[in-house]
Amino acid sequence: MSRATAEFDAALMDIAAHWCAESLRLGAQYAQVFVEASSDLRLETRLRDGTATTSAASVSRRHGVGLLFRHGGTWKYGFAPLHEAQTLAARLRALGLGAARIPGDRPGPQPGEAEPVTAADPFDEVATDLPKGGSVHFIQDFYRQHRLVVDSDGVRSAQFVGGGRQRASATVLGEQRLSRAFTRASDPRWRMSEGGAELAESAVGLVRSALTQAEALTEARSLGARSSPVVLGPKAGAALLHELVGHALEADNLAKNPNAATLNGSRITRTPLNLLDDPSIPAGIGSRRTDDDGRECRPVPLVDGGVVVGALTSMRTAPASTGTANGRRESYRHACLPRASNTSVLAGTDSVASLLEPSPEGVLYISSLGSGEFSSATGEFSFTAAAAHFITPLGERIPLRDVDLYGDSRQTVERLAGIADDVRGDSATCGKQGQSILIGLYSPTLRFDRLDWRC
Amino acid sequence: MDHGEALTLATTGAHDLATLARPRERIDAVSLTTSRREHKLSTGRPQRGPFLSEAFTLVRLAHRGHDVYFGSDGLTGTTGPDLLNAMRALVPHGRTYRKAPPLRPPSTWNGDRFKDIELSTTPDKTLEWLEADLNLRAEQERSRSRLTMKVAGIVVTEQISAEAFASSEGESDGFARTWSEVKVLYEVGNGDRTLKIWAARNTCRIRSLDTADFTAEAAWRAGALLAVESGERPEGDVLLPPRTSATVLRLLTQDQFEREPPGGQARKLPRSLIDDPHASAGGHARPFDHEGTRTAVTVLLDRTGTRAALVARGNLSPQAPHLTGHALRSTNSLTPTPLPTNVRLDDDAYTVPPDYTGLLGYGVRGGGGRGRHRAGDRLGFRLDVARVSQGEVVSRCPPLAVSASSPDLLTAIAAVSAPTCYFPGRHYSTAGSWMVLATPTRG
Repeated sequence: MSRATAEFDAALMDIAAHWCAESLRLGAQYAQVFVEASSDLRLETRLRDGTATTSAASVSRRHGVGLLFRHGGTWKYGFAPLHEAQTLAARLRALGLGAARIPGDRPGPQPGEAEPVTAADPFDEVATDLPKGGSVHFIQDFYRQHRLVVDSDGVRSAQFVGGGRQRASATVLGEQRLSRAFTRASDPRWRMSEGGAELAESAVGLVRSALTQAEALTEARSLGARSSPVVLGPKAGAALLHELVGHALEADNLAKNPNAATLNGSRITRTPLNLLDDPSIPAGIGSRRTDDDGRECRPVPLVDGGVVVGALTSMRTAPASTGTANGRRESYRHACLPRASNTSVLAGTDSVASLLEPSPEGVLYISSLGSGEFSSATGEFSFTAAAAHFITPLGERIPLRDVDLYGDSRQTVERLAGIADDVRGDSATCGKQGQSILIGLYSPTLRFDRLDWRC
Repeated sequence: MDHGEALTLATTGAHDLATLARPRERIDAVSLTTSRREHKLSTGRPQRGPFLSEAFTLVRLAHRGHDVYFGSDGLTGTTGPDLLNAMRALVPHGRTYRKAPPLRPPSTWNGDRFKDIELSTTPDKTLEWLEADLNLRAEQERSRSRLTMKVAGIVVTEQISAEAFASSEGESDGFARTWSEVKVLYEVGNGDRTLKIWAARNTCRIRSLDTADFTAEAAWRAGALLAVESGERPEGDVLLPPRTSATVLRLLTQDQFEREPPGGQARKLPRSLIDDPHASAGGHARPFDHEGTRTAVTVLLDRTGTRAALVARGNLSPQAPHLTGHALRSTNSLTPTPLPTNVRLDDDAYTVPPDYTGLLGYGVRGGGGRGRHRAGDRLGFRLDVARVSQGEVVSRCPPLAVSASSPDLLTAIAAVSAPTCYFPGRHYSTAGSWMVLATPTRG
């Protein structure tokens, strides 16, 4: 850690400690202060008509304080930008805590915020190779987040979350029909000021891959409503299980589930599924040393051999002695919720070839799962697969796009029939109660006996 | 916090930043302040909390043909200099830009239309009127829907926001407005069962809320949720209430204006899609965009199937050389990109017959958030459907699948009432109307 970073973190820690002490002085039974100093850089490029141009460059700065406290037996949350201490004091007064004193000096500039950008321009060759009418929107995000927690139980935690993420969205016009494909990559070691060659190589690879996939989808067909075995390629299966199982095992969602008491220890599939939340995966976008409650993270088994064995908790949903360190938040404007870090399905014993065996109804193969919805009240889910193909009983491959996969979550998990050993990782944005965070998704190829879908 | 104070704060914040420009630099600053307070009515006098305020600042720094954007929570009076230092390091890597004139001359903005002075100054009187009126509408609804309906609670979130634009070249603009959310808890019964449901709408002025329409929509939905499932496979035209039709309109707008333009030939459409930044009922009403360009009503998609070019600095072209007032920051991009504000369909003054008999689409599933990340050109969602006879919900049906391209979906809209409200989304609002969706859209 550089001296500038250490001094900056120390200044933020002083601010956190001040607000924690003030909360206790004013009668709070417990106080937790989260201080964030984030400055995220985004660079966007458009490839069109044979040229690549920088289409946007922006920095999103979030420097702020969030204060969770228990007062009069009630949990309350107030927040304000770091430089508007008076606003936070006013909020605390409005929340019934009384007149808080304002901290002294505010910290200096965030280290690295004004550092130069490695301006690799790798797209000239790709741009000239664009198909007629084709275009690509490429986005690079670089994160520089100082996240500190101080609480009245003695927690003192400071963590730097860095890294980068690249996304490509390619659009290709076939004969009167558009198709699009999306690719992405991330690495917590990426910095905007270094590693230009690696970033450029990754960028070109993502753009070319998105274009190739989009071109393949121009031949896509519609098949109507079907019911068939479904194979989810590496990474895609974790996205589905994150929604259907992972969210259901978050402590706040469990509290709303009338059947929660019988869930732990219950078998959800006959297939030996091993699902865990793993914040220690190297290069995982959700990997971290401590959570946003300041607790030390470690892997949490959720499903072991097809049997539910765990749940994700945060400070407010379980004591430190029995809980897990899964408190995460979008920013200082929000209190923590129990959330995933990296959802990970461990490798199984099946071969990919055996999972792809044709069936009389054909097989739907999904290589990329898009967004979707899951109702914890009814158990119904609906997801879109952006890229997929149908394998006919004779082995012919028919490209499909925007496949709508839907059904009952419990029945779907019961129909898990096979797990291969080709684990790969991905990153995704996960939304919950209005908060978006980045999570990692790791899984091998998975096969489900029979699911309903429409295309 | 009143409108004048909010606008003064925003204006000062924007001007303070704009004055920090060095020679040959240009700074454009947009400051936004928002103050919210909650009013609750259950029994007795209304209770209300204090105003809680937030602010956001968006800055553009342009130098030697490149520009960058910087977004920061709060007003940046004290942090402006170090914020600009960070921007100066980045600006050589920013996009190249060109100057461009606006498409239209400046439009007028009647700021008084967008303020609820009554709610600000005499909130008790306004809320007592609202409570009495909603109770009256609930009583009237009993004879139409054959449901008992009672108002069990009301929560009004009053929001006063102000936005100011200032540039280092002396341009400045600003506005303030009210935008309130009204949430009502109803107890509804059909003789066999009762349930509690929340219904919500937004309005610029509490007195402008169409309480009859609001209550009717809540009664239809409650009737559907109380009805028994019939297993009937729904066939025939479907009547969509305002909240459902606004969701469908959002999907159409996402498809047409939040992605790369769809391909294919333009085709004739039975109705057009209109963006109205001056609709006082719309949650995204504004006199200028985040590049400082004045806004105006725009036909987004006309009846020949021609799409309007929404133009910001980032997508100027020889074919679209003028700024149209649609440059807005969003959750996807701090750099302003072309987006609509308040979207509606041109209506044919449709009214729902009191003895309506047919299908009711009281909810949408599976459509949210998918507009931008679809690989193809078809929209897919499912409608929650109920059977209505003589104005009374008699049974619930299985969901109805809809799969269609956006032009097909627009063509399938057989009738639309005038908007009764707007439902705010993250980036723009869409009108809530009573809409009849014809059969050809089924998948």
